[in-house]
Parts: sequence; C-alpha cells; structure tokens
Amino acid sequence: MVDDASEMLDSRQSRAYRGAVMLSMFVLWIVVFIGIFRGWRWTPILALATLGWTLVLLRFHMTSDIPLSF
Amino acid sequence: MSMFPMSSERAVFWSRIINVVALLGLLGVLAGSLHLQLGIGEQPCPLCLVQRSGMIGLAVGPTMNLLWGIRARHYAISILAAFAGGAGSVRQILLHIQPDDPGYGPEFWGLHLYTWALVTFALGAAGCALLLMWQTPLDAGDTGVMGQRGWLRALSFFVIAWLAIDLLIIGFTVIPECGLGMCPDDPPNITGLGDIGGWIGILVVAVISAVIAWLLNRRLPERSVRY
Repeated sequence: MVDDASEMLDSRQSRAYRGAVMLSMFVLWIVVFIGIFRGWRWTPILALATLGWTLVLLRFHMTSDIPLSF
Repeated sequence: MSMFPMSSERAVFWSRIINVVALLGLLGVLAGSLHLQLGIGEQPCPLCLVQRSGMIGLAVGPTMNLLWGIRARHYAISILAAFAGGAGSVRQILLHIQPDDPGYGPEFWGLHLYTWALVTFALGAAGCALLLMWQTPLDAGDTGVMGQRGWLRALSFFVIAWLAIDLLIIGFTVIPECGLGMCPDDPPNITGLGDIGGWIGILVVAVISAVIAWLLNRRLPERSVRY
C-alpha cells in the first residue's frame, strides 16, 4: 500500500517535472527587462510572479534529502 | 528631520550612484559565474540556476530605480528576490552541511559559490533596507535617468545593457544543458573557452555593452517614462 502511494507520488512529481521548464524562468526575466525599458506598468507584478515561479522550480528541484532530521 | 540632510537633487544623484554600484557588484557575481561556466566549463546545477534567477531579481530594483525613478516598491522587489534566491542558497548549503562533505563545485576564498551567493543576497537585502531609511530621494519625485542625457544616463545604460546581455547568455545556455525540461542534478562539465578565453569573453560583452550604452544615450530623446 505504501509502495503504491509512493509510486503514485513519484508519477505525479515526474509529470510536474516535465511540465515545469527551467528556461521559462529566464524567459520571464527577459520579458521583465523589456518591460522595464519600455515602461510597462505591469512589470513589477510580472517580476513578483517570476520570483514566485523561481520558488516553484526550487521546490521541484528538491529531489534529495537534506542529511539532517528536517 | 532627514537622517542625511541633503538637497533632493544631490540625494537622487547619490542614490543613483549607489544603485549603479550595486548593479556593478551583481554584474561581477554573474560575470564570475559565466566565466566558470563558459571559460572553465563547469555547468551550473539547477539550484545554481535558481540562485542566478534570484541575482537577476535582485538587480530588478536598482534597474527600475535608475530608469523609472527611486521608489520604495523597487527596493521591495529586490528584498523579495533576495529571499527567493537565498532560499536556493540555504537549500544547497544544507545539502552539504555535514562534516567532511566536500561540497559542490569549486571554492573561492575558502567558501563555496552558493555560500557566497547567500552572503550576496543578505548584503543586498540589508542594503535595500538601509536605503529605505533614506527618505529624501524617495520623496523627490524622481522620474529616472531616461529624461536626462549625460554621463550618468550612459553609465546606467552600460550596466543595464551588460546585465541584459548576461541574462540572454544565461537563458540561451540553459537550452543545451537542460533542454525544455528540468535540469540534471549534477550536469557534466563541458569544454570551455579556457581561463583566459573566458575573461576575454567577459571583456567582449563589456565592450558591446559600452557601445550599446553610447548609442542609446546619443539617440534616445530626453523623456520621462510614464509610470
């Protein structure tokens, strides 16, 4: 039962990995910089969204255990 | 009463200089990491890319301050970026925290690069907090360097162009390393340009940035960005 659950979790995670694109983080930053230079009003919102996306990608890359009890 | 008694114009001028110096510091970090990647041939790990993203986010605040005018919300973006990038650094430090763990990648002055990244994020957040205590430039109604042709606008364009080119290089080099998916945890080393070749590459980027800045400063009219 536990093995099934962990397999299902692994499968979900690998789907998430495939859907998440590391390149997208830098594409978003490029759009932010174009926005700053062009004076687009929504650029700060996009910058915050890009920071959020950075944290999501960080979470997806937490693939190995930290050698401490937390 | 202001903490630093100074006229609005002088306060904005010195605040812009501090923002330019901050961007130059971040450029040094990014250029060093690109030298390691394209010169020495050590490809960045996924957590390193997350920290690079945090560095770029840290640079967004000063860039907005220079082009749009000094605002508290721009410093706030940099502080939040320091937290996001710092999370990546802390994660990587904790992965190698046990005694006798050799750590990941090369050391610089006795510390691994992810530890230096955490120091950079901490200094960036602290610097923004200190600048937020300086009220005069925040209240000056500054509209940025776009409206003022001159050496400070050219210098601002230079550091921002250099940053933008570094961002493009980082973005393009992610494709051969990671494709269109997630990056490998421990990417293999590549054949780089060599130590001297890497520094020459950085020099070439600096020269291109200087030419772009000179052209922009010459051709762009004196105007303010509406924001």
